[in-house]
Amino acid sequence: MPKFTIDGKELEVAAGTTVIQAASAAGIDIPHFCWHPDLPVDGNCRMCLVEVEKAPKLQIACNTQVTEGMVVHTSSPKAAEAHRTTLELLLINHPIDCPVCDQAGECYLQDQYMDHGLHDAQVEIEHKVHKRKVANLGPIMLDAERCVLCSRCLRFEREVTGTNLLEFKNRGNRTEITTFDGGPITHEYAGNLADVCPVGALLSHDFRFKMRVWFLEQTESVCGGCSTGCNTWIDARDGEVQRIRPRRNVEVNKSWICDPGRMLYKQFHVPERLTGARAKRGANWEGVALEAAIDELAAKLGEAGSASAFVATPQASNEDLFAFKALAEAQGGQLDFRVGNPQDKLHVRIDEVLQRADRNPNTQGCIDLGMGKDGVDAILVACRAGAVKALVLQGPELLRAAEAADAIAKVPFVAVMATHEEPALALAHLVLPAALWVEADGTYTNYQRRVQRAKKAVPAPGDAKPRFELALGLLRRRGHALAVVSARDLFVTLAKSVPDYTNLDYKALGFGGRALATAPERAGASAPAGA
Amino acid sequence: MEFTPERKAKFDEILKRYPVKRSAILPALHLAQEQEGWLSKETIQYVASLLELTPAQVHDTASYYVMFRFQPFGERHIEVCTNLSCSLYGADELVEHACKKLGVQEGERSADGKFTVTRVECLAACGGGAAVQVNGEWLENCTIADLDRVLAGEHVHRKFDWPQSAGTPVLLRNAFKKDSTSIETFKAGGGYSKLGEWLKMSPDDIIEQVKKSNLRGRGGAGFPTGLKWSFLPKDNPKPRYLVVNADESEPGTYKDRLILENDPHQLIEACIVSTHALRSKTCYIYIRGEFWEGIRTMERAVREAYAAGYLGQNILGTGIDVDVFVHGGAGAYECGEETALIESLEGKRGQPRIKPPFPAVVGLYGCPTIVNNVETISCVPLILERGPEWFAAQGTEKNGGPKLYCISGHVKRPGTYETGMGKVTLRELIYDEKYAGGIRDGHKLKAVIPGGSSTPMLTPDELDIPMDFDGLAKAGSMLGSAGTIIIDDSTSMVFVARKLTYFYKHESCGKCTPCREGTGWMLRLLEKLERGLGQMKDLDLLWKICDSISGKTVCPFGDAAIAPVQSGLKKFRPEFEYYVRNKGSWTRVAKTFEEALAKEGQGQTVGAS
Ligand SMILES: Cc1cc2nc3c(=O)[nH]c(=O)nc-3n(C[C@H](O)[C@H](O)[C@H](O)COP(=O)(O)O)c2cc1C
Ligand code: SF4
Ligand code: SF4
Ligand code: SF4
Ligand code: FES
Ligand code: FES
Repeated sequence: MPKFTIDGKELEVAAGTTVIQAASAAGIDIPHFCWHPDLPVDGNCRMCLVEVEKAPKLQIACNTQVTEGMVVHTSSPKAAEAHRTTLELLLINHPIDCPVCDQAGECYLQDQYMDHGLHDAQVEIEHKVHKRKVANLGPIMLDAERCVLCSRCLRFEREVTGTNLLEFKNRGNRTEITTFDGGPITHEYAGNLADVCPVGALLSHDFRFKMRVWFLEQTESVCGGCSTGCNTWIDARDGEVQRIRPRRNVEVNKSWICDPGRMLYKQFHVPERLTGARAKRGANWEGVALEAAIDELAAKLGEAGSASAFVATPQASNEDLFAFKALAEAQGGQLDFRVGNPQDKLHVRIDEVLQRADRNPNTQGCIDLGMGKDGVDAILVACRAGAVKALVLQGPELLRAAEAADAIAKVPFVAVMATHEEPALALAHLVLPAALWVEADGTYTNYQRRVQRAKKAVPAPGDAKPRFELALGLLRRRGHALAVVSARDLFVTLAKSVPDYTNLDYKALGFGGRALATAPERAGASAPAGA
Repeated sequence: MEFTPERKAKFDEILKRYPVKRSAILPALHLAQEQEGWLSKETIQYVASLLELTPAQVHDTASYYVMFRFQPFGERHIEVCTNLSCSLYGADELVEHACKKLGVQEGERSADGKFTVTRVECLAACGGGAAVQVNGEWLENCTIADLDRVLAGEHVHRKFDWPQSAGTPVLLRNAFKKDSTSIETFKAGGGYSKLGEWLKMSPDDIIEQVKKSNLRGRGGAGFPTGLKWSFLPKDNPKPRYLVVNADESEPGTYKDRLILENDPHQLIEACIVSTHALRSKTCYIYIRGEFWEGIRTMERAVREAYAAGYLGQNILGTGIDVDVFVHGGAGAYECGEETALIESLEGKRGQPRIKPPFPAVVGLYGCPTIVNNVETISCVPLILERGPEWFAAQGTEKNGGPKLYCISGHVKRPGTYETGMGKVTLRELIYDEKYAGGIRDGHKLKAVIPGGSSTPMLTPDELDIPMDFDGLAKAGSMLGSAGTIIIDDSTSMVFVARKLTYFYKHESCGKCTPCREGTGWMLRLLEKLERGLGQMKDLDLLWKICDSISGKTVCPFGDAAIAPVQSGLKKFRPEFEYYVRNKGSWTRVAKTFEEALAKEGQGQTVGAS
């Protein structure tokens, strides 16, 4: 554990830590372009030069390991001068078109340029080497002229996806970033290329020209796209999600997410979203106020008593599941979640990077909370036998299952919580509008058995409510009110009763989550994603 | 596109030389280009499929190297070196002449499809400049008349008539013999006779002797060879490699080529014992791609050595196994830098790695690796044969052994001369009849680049220094690769700076910002000066750019690249200022700078005339 001094601060770091790692952990910003915490060090941009006492020349912070007693100055006159000149050299071949560049606000070059006050740079614009203009690479756009040749994108393609679709063409100051013959990027991780690019050379097609980034509000979240549970930022404006970005978590997704996960937001604000409750009157649907709909369901549950059944969804948060289970238990009805057996796919990878075959964020939470109790088949058997008078579905999965249709048809009252309109909802008698995971606070337990927190980023549309609120409303009406008001309270409550979750609370989880012990037979299968 | 069966067989044979397929990329691309004339998209895709790479990976690598072409070329490719020494012998005029005669631009195919003319950087034929290659065959000391014959369809070839060294050279003892490349000639001179004995020595003993000999690396940095060898980790179970650096591309340097083309077995024998000394089994000789003849000669000699049992398994019954493989580059000065060379040998762009780790710990294929220059390695058998004390005594203190000195430019007898390290002063090397014999008639010495283009220039009053690493360091320059370039009073120092800066800009690998952008910027400013558009503040800017590069780059190329401008400005600033004042070169009004200044004093300037 070497101790060293950086800008007058004394720090102790693990052996092998580089100066830039130590600095960034201590909140000291060393300018850099090519270094990225989740890519191998390449040391090419020379932006991170720092003065190390007793060293004959400046050292790059990204490839210099801290040693005992080292004294580092990140902004001494010598270091500052090197930052200024290196930046100036970078700008010779970089168009200074910040006002029209989409990276503006997220561009290291722009930040550095401002920081270092290079307005009087000795750069003569007419001398710039001219390269090809913007190319369409499918999911992303490439503006080679803005590239600072930091090789982050190439290293991403080499080390993370192994796809090697990008290349540097030529050498020296004629070097240019491109793909072979201008071909498209064909893997499902293209969005990360735009993220790793420190300047506006690789841009998300999706976000191009949409909005200046400084209008966005960012919220910590967890992807709802599969059991990997990548940590994300939800960027929203005026209550509408504009994009999803990876949030770094070394244990889960490092700095990456997949494109399908990134694109999920496109389903958030669509006409198919359910914004109000409805009930079937004869052959027709009739819109009803949410409270009235909950009243109606509570009444049906009252009539059914234990002749009721509950099917949870692995899309739901732990808080949703807990409240739903409390309802099932209060009723004495049957309970399960395993429609389509998501638990069998929980650990199955569909590529070598991040994605998993179980497209639910919380199958492990269902397992941990004991949602798999009576078996979906047993519930269907009971339905067919006419023993179920009220069936409550936390999500529409069962309605989509063709083999369940005849059983469902036997149940006199089927209620479903759903987020989007879909034909299968026709089988239900009551539809309750549910919030999406970005519209509610909640925790999710990923395939590694890591409990992670997602924060409400935008309001749910219309009457839509988090599933736990719907369940709490039902419990209250059925005379089993839980003494909780928020998702946070619910988590505290559930932590008391769910094995291994004991002592967990939102504070303990933070926004990086907390890993629980995995069943020994799983130990091998739960290596961090992308490792 | 597919390889012909013969080429496919050759490719399959080449593939066996490397533990990693990708290493075969440059040989495969050379084979493909030989067959197809150039590298089309389809060809890149074919090579990618053979090597299990993506086409982007192959193109990324291929486009780094200047020997690969991405459009059809003429049947005969005329390559003219226009680097400094050759340009002093009229190389630029050769290019202009040929292009004019063919009615083409440089790099463009002639209308009849017969010729393409291109400029190339130093070919390691500096004393034999102007150096030309026609489809890879030498045409040294090329004149306009020679070129006319080539353009008329004749096959004209000529090699430089290297002058021989006085006394009894040891490194060059065989080089000028008849049939010097054959194994018989080498054996007749005692070659391979002690190999069995040396292979029975313990590696540590050999390293100890090399340490005692004061042998220092001949590749440029002068690092003590024995010490470098002792950096190999003792407890690393991975294989180890010896890589011989035969990339010789530093302008002014043309010594390793003499060994490769004239005495290949001397190098092979040296590789065998050195590989053994490093407890390695495999040695790669990385030869720059432009050395077509050197590669051919070395490959033939390697085959002879295998056939004679000096290479392969259980050499001479000693139980020692050594393989030596010849690997050709494809045109990139930077591949001489040891980590860039390793990357290139692994089949990648020839760009250096950041250090640490150092190659002795993590080198070729991630294994401990020693990279040494051809001349350095060639010294090892001499140490074992004649003893480390003898070897050390050939040179000066801490600078052991015989040494090859290259001299080119405005001297009477350019050549590569052998003598004891530091046993000659720079002045003697230039003026002594045993060496270059003085400045060409009618001219005065103006500047000396003592050790290759990367070494700071010296003036005529700085020449009384021994030509060894320490002597030159004391004079504020470097011995480098001992490529001395002599510039007389007919030549503008702005032209010299521009020529060499063009070279560095052209050869910068582009990996790191200061060198990639700085070399281009300096070149633009120097060209501006030459076009008569320079301002005094540009001179200060040039100086500042040197500072922005100095000590801030990934590899020593950056410091090398600023040497011409920095030392030029330091020692010849008045010439630069003249360009600003008079909007262009003094060579337009006078034969020497002094004359030009005198005329300027009388009001005769370019601007005024
Ligand atoms: C830009 C550059 C080019 C170089 N070119 C060569 C070369 O052509 N041949 C060579 O032996 N060393 C060259 N070197 C030096 C090598 O990096 C390395 O130091 C040398 O091969 C080590 O061998 P030695 O210890 O025997 O000198 C070059 C270094 C740099 C920075
Ligand atoms: S495109 Fe972006 S990430 Fe890729 S090398 Fe250029 S600047 Fe770096
Ligand atoms: S891998 Fe799964 S969790 Fe991660 S971003 Fe993609 S869909 Fe979301
Ligand atoms: S100094 Fe930088 S750009 Fe120049 S050759 Fe070395 S690594 Fe390449
Ligand atoms: S961040 Fe260290 S060299 Fe680029
Ligand atoms: S061969 Fe032309 S300068 Fe060296």
